[in-house]
Order: sequence, then C-alpha cells, then structure tokens
Amino acid sequence: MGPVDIVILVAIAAALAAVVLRVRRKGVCADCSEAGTCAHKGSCMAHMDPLEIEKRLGKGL
Amino acid sequence: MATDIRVALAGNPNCGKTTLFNRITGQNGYVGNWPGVTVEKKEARLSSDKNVVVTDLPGIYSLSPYSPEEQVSRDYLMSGEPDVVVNVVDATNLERNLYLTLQVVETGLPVVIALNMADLVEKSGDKIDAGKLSQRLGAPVVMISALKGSGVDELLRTARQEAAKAGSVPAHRFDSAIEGVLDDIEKLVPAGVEEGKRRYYAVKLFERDELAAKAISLSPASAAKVEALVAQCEKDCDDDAESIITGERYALIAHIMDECVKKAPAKMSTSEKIDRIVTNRILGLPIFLAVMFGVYYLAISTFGTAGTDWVNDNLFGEGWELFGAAMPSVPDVVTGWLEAAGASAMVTSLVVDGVVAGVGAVLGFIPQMVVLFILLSFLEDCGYMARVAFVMDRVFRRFGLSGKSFIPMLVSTGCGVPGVLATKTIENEKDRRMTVMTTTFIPCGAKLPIIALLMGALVGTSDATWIAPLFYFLGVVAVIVSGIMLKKTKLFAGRPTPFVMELPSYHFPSIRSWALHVWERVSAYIKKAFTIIFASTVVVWFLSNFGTAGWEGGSGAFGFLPDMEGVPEEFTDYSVLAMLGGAIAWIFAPLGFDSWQATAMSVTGLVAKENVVATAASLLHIADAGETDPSLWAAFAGMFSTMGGIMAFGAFNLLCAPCFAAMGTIRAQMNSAKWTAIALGYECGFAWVVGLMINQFYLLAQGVVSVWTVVAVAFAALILFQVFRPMPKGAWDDEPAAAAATA
Repeated sequence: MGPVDIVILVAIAAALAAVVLRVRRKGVCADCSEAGTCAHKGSCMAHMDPLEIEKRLGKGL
Repeated sequence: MATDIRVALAGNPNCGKTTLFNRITGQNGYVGNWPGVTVEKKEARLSSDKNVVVTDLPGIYSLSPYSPEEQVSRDYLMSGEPDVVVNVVDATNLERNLYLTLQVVETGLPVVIALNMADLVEKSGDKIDAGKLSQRLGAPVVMISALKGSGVDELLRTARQEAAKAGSVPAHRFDSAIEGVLDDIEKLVPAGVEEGKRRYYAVKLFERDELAAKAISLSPASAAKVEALVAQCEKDCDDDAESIITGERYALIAHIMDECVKKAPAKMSTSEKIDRIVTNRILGLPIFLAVMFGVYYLAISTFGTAGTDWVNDNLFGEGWELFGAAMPSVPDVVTGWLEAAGASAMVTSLVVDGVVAGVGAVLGFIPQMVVLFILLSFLEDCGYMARVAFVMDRVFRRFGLSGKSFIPMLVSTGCGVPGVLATKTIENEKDRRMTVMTTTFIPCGAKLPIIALLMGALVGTSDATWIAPLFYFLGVVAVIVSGIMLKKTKLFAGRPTPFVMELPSYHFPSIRSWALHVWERVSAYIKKAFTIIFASTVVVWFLSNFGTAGWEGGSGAFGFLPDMEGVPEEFTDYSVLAMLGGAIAWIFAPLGFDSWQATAMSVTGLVAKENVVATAASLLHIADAGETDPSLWAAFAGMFSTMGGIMAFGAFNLLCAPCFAAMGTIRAQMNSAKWTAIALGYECGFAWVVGLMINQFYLLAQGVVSVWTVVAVAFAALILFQVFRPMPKGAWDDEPAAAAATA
C-alpha cells in the first residue's frame, strides 16, 4: 500500500467521521426536507414531545 | 445595541402566515396550501432589521385550547414574550377570521391586523373599509399581500410603532347583561394580573377555562364566586357560558361586517367554477388519479427520464461531447487520476466502484426528482392538493377514516419526516397514531429511484407509463386498506375526527416560493447523497469486497477478495455482506428474492431509501453501465428468479419501515417505545404480506403451487374479511374527545 493509498483512505475515513459527527450533532433528521429550518437536534421539533413543547413555551406564564 | 423587538404572527390556518414569515425573514419555511403546515412555532430575525425577532405560530381558529396548536399559540401569546402581535387575517374570508381577531385583541397585547390577500379582495370587487375596521376593533389595520409583498413595509412600520405602546384596548363590547357579569368577574381577577389583561382573563373565566384560572392562581373563594355569577348568567340566557360568548362574538362580527365590508354582487368565482369539476362527487377521484398518473408519467417516463438518461449515459457512463470535444465520464476521470497517482487496485475500486458508483447512481436521479417536485409543488401551491384532501375525505369517511389523515400523506410525497410531523394536527390520539403508522406508505422522493429501477427491471424500457403511477397508487391503496383494517380493531376503533377545511382560492404560485420549494427538496436529496449515502456506500463496499477465501481451492484466509489467488469472478458471494445477507435471506424467500444481494439492498434501504439503488450500483456497477443499457436492468433482474419476485421486492421496499430519519420522527411522535415498535412492526409485516401475495399469486398464475401459496391465500382472505366485515358494534360509540384521552 503506497502513500497515495494511505492519503485517500485517511480522506475517506475523515469524511466518514464527519458524517457520523453530523448525524450525532443534528440527528438523522438532518436529512429531512425541513432540515434547513433546524439548527441542531435539540431544536428539531420533530424530535420533541408535544407536551415538552407546551411546557417549554408555557414557561414564565 | 438596540433592544430586540419580538413580533408574533398569529392567525387562522392557511391565512398566509408562513408566506409572510418567509417574505420578511428571508427563511425558506415550508409553505403548504392546506391548514396545519406550521405545527410548531418558528423563529427568525427580520431581514431588514436584525433587532426584530419574528415568531410564526401554528394556525388556530380560537384561543380556546382545544388542540395542541391552539394551546401552543395561546401559551406563547400570554407568556409575555411578544412585544406586538401581527394578526394575519385572510381578507377573502374576513367574517370567519374575525372570530380569532376579537380574541387576540381581547388579550390586551399590542396588536396590528394584517388583512392578507387584499389583492384578491380587490379582484373580487369587494371593498373593505380598513379605517372603520380599525376603529371597531381598536387596533391598526393594514392591507397586505404576503405573496406579492404589497403593504408589507407599512405593516412592519406599524408593528414597530405598536410594539412601543403598552397594549391595545378592545373597542368591542358584548351585550350589556354579559358585560355586567364580565365586570363583576374582572373584579375577582387577582390584583397581580396586569390591567390590560384583566378583561381577557374575565372572559376566559366566564368560559370556564381551567387553564386560564390556573395561570392567574385564582383562589378557591373567587372561583366559587365566578362560578355562581356564570351559572346565574347561564340560567338567565338559557344557554351554556361558552355558547353565550361565542354567540356574542358572532353577533359582533355580523355588525362589523355590515359596517366595514361592501360585497360585490354575488357571482361564481373562477375557483368555484373549477371546484365544481375537480371536487365533483363522481369526477373528483378519477381526476385526482389522472393528475397523479400524469405527474409520475412526466417525471419518470418523459422529461425526467431524458435528463436522468443523459446523466447516467454520459456523466456516469461513456462520456459526452462538448462543442465537438470528447469529454470523459466521471468514473473514467477518477480512475485516470487514481491510476496516474499510483493508487492500488483496492483503493481505486473503493473510490470508483464504491463511492462514485453509489453516490453517482443516486445523483443520476436528480433530473427526475426535479421534474417530480416541480409538478408536486405546483399542485400544492396552486391549491389543488387542498381539494384532494377534501375529495379523499369523502372516500375515507365511508370507511370510518378522516380526511384529516390525508394531509400528512400529501406532505409525505416529498419527505416522510414532515409528513409524520404533520400528524400533530390530528386531535384524536387513535387516528393520529394510525396516520403515523400508515403515512409513510406513500412513496416519498427518495423512493423514486427504486421505482425507476424497478420499471427498467420489469419491462426493460423507460416507456412503460403505467409502472411508476402503479407504485404510487399501491401506497395509496395500502393506506386505505390499512386504515379500514386498523379502524375495526380495538386499538383504533372510534368515530373519525371531524374534518373542516377551508379551500383556498386557486392561484398561480409565486415563482420564488415555487423555486424554493423545489430547491429545498432537491438540495436535501443532494445533501443526503454526500452524507448518509456516501457513508453507506463505503461500508457496503468494504462488506462486499472483504471476506473469506472459501471457494474450492481457496486458502480460507480473510482479506480483500479481488486480490486473492484463484478468486472466482463472482467473488462477492464470499464477502461479509454475502454472509450477513445470506443469514436472513430466508425471510424473503417466499417473496421471491432470497439472494443475499436483494436482502442487503432491502436492509441498507432502512438507513435511507436511496441506499437500495446505491447498494445495487455498488454490487452491480450500475454507474458504469448507464441507465438505458439493457445489461444493467438484466443484471438487476438476474437477482430474482421471477418477475413476481421483482414486483414483490418493489412492494416490500416501498411499504416497509421508512428511513432512519422518519423512524426517529415516528418515535418522537408516538412518544412510546411500545407504539413505535407496533408502528414499525406493522409496516414491515404489512409490506412482507403484500410482497408474499404478489409473488405467490404470480407463481400461481404460472401454475406453481406451494405451501406459501396457501399462506398467501389465507392472508388475502384475512385482509378481505377485515376490510369488508361490518364495523363492530359500538366501535363508534365513543366521541372523538373521549378517544383522544387515552395515552
């Protein structure tokens, strides 16, 4: 295995790691057609229980 | 830095809030031409002034918390966060929209009323006296068109001015007898409640709104006094409290309409003329079927195919000519680079046969995807899809289902994730769960490549116009059949949710919103190709190229199979993927696809549906062949022993559990591991049974009978029995509200 092979394999490994990190950070919903409106997994309403949303919005009432 | 101003957009469903939100913030939030598109609040800063934060609230009809959206909107409005509320009103349906407006003004918050679709009012010949309306409501009124942008600057200017004020004072008054009771109740509202909000809480206490009483910590003694006052008023008026207030509001609205609106002589609008045909009791359904047939025909068999063929034949095939100069294909270019750089055969194979073939196969479908989404977005934006929900309600209701369940399915034609999310608008918990379970049966954009691949494998040509619509209608039939069967079980029995829906006027979509809609979906597809699909193809390549040399004369060692001595041509049969796929292939044997390749494609499809094609590309070198090359389809078809197996494979992959993203959303919406397992289990089980029946009935037609034929007949009989047996006695006894109570 030559140096070119190692460079390419490292690049692919790095790209794979980036995908894994992206999914970890944004959740798989990052691939949904509404992904642009969510900044990260925590703010994705799709992953939130409606009661949780109500509780959050009801804060300070 | 200036202090942030918080603007809340509130209004009825489908009045144009999200269109206004997108216009003033530059966001690309999903705009659908049916109610319930915004099921949660969305926030963004104003494009022209970053100090202004705009919140797009879900569409609601009142501030009485009957549904989760109404609860969310009311809680947000009363949380003290918004500095000003922009009440977006559909001016073409002013009378109905004013019901919410009166309540928003009653909150005492600074309010600006945006009369949206003012251009359509003008076109219809109606006249609205904005000045007089403002006087009657006690809040400024601005005529706008969110779609065209007219009046929006004035609206924002007015909103800024109102935000600086302490609040609005409702100008409307109810009947003097009711006002007397409200005054008495207002005196019982705790002193801590702000002056401007006291009347709002007085009205809510009159309506016996428990959440409002809790929010202001009403003492038991005061609550008893309020109850006595309300009970006396009910006795005097011979009606219940909520109906008294509703009646008063409608009476007021009638007066306001008389004073402020001059209606043009009644004549049938263009929308009404079109609706007489497209929502016709007899013609409605055939028209919908014809329209969807046309959409899939155009996307897959004509314009879309021309683009996809070009990409696959030239960009990922044999290369193309540019101004007479021969241009090599992507795989050729990459192979040339790697060979020139001295890369080994293994790395070259990983990049070309794995990444380029897998990702390229998925990207090759972009032209078809673009055509599909251009057509679907047009149908949504122009208002036709809203009619389809209305037409389908008539079909669904006959079987005890609600047309409300069809809206998430319409959304699912783009992507299952927002489709599942849209089920939040269904109040009845049983109907909601059932819709979550069935909505992903509708083919989403990611399933389009599977359909296109199947079409080629089944008939060997892209001219078979009936195949693509057939798979779309398979999804629709699966939803209806599942709905009928599930509705007759104890888990989902109950009266269907009432479905009230406003049909928007037909209009030509704004090019910007239309283009954004298409771009949003296509860009998500491209993004997915370079992330999840890329990662999957790398994993599939490793699994299909590494294995044990177990062939005759092989050393039995584990390693990179193509480099091993005496390796047979079909070396992937000795790979790790072949071993894993082979271990579970028996599950699919009765469906006619027991090869490890087909099994592997089905399993990787659970990560993302595009993976079915990407995995096929990796295993069959599709990118090298080009889509119109019959050898490609022949190679794919070669995985199956019969045509029935190919159809069963298609049916299984289109109906089984959706991708990881949609599964995650189902988990979040169900809020229960048990219900998530039931949903995914049902989808996979139903898909398996449909696949089994297709394959076995195909074999039966060929004269082949086995024990699985008997099983398939038994399943078919069971399904027919459940579909056609009468609704069990007492299944509709519970009211929707009662059904919603169980968790």
